[in-house]
Amino acid sequence: MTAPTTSKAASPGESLLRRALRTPVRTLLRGRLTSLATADMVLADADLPERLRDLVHHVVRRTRLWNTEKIAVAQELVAHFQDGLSAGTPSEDLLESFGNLQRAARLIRRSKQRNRPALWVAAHRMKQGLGLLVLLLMATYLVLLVRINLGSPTLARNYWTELNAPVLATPEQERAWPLYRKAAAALSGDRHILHRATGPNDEEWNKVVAFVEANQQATHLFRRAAKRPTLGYLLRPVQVDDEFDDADDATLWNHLAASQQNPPLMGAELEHCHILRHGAILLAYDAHLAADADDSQRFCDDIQSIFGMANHAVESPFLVSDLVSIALVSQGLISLGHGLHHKPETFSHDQLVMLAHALSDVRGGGPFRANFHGERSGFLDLVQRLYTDDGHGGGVPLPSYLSILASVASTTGGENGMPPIAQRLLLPALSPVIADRRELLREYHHVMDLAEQYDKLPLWERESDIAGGAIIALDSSSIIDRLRYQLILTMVPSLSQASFLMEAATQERDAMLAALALEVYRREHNQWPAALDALVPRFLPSVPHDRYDGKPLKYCLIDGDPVLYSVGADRDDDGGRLPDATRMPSGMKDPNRWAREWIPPDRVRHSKAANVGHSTAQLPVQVVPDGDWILWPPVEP
Amino acid sequence: MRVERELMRGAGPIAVLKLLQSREMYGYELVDALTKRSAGVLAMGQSTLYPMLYNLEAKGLIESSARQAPTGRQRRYYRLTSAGEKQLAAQTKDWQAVTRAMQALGILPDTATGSEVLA
Repeated sequence: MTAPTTSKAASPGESLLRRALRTPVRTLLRGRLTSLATADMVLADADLPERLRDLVHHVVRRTRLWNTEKIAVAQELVAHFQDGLSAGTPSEDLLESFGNLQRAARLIRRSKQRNRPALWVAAHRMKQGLGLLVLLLMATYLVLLVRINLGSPTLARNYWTELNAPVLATPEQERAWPLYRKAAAALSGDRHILHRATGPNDEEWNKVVAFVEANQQATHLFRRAAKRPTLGYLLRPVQVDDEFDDADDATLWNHLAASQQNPPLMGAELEHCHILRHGAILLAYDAHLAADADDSQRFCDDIQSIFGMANHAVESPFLVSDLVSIALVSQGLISLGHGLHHKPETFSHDQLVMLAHALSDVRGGGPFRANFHGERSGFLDLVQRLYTDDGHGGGVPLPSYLSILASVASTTGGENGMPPIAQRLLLPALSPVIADRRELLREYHHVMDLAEQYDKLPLWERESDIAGGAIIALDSSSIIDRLRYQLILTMVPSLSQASFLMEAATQERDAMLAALALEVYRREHNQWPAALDALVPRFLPSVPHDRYDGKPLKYCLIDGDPVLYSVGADRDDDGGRLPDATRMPSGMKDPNRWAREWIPPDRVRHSKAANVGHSTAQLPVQVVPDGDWILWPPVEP
Repeated sequence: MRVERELMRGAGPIAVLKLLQSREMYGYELVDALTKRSAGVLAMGQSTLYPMLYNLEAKGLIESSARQAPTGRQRRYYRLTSAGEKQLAAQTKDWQAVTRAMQALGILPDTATGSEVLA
């Protein structure tokens, strides 16, 4: 028996460089230039007829095996044919009995590969698996690409018609909007001065006074408009045909309805919001000047008008309009507080009662609550444009889905640099992750239902933010879940913050009603009451709640003057003391505003405990304002 | 007569294992033995034999080594491993069972009774 041969052999006739390049590294390290044998070299040395040699050559070449494997196969086939020839078998018979050349190469390749190291086999299997996976993914992608790009939206509902229906049912003479537009058109001068100036101490105060005095006609129109029963604002798209740029609402709406247009509701023009804001600020400054001039009737007209405008703003179903309404209430309360505090004697008893009634009727009375109806409509309208509709609540996203997200990203600081073709190609890849229509709407309504439940609770019963928590849970979950519900995360505003602002405004209104009642009481009794109970029921139907702890609004006399306050964010009664301004977080300027900051009770408990080293809960610690929210008298920032 | 490829796929490996049970053999020797001892029924070309040998080797049923034959020719010899022995025993039982079933069905002659295959 002879020793096993090696597959590597020196290659005579090769240059030194070529031999060096073809020598295995391990052999090179031993200082030898052996070069590397090849299957061709084996064949060249083989004593075989040309046709058999060619056959082995072709089979070996087609196996595409490693060089050492090819050599082994070549040696074995050569030996086989040589054995056959030695046994007297004609080369033609050997050729014929060999079998199919391609099949042989394929089978040899597979079987030889099975003899490779386990690591290689595992890697090969993985590569095959990945290849299969890629093929499957590509096939899925192509199916989705076709499905998505062949899909089209079904605009089953026209939300413009639905939302405008109540307005159209209102007689035109009852609608305030035409007068508001006239008032806005009548404004002359730099109206931005109204937003820039901060009060009588502002260096631009003279300009404010001049602007207000120069715009008495507009002021008069705003007051007239505010007295009308309804706002009567017809929703209209921001972008309309050029010929309707200057058309009034009714003309435009008739055109849209006649042409059966149904543009995206997200593009609704909410022009009334900023016109009402302008008007309310103008009236607030006018009230300020009226109080200074002891013109109580003009003051009362202005305040009533601001509250009337707040009532008008809430008619629009969109949350932004609702928040404008709340801002107008606050504006009216600031102006009323200023007049009542600085010029209480200016007002007659009847005027005080009238102001109290106007205030208690704002937004229908009772605790202020947010209106999410328009938000839902806007989202549902968006979904019917971004998804197909199978008629049973299901559907897949359309290419416009990404364009909406991209455009929203661009309006919030991102860049909308994705061309439509990229959106068409990208969406099929993302669509398996993106929630389908049914799932998206189920999650959306879940979040909105939670938000509405939360909104109905008084502030003192809001233990934790369930709606905001649901959104935060989506946002802080895996990237897959974030992608899945990205439309909700992108489109749903901070509903809990809106709900908080409603409660804060409710508290301010209740305190102002109590302040008005105190003034009436003082005039009758020549002194302030010892407690708020004394106001009930003659001057006040009941003692208002402190919205933070659910107990009666806090009242005390400091230096002989009445103080109304809430315990504020820390839920501790500090006797009507503001929090220490030096401890305010950076960015805050007004300690009284800080005192009313909304911090959920669990966060407050945790932060207080952490400050004395007693809490181990995994919640962020924040500085809780140690003081009260002063509601009366007005606190200058 | 040559058997169908599917049948060869089942019969070929056990035939090779059986041949290697008695001694180690090289490729041509195996082809020659298979052809002669099965009267050509299990004759197979290189395109079938060598992939089969490599597969059996990958499964650990046979092992090989390349050596120079006394004639000076380079050959690869195959021999049965212990795993191959077990596999051969197991497959032999299977084939015996199949044979009995075929005899019971009358497809094969019953060697015990000498009955003939059904026409």
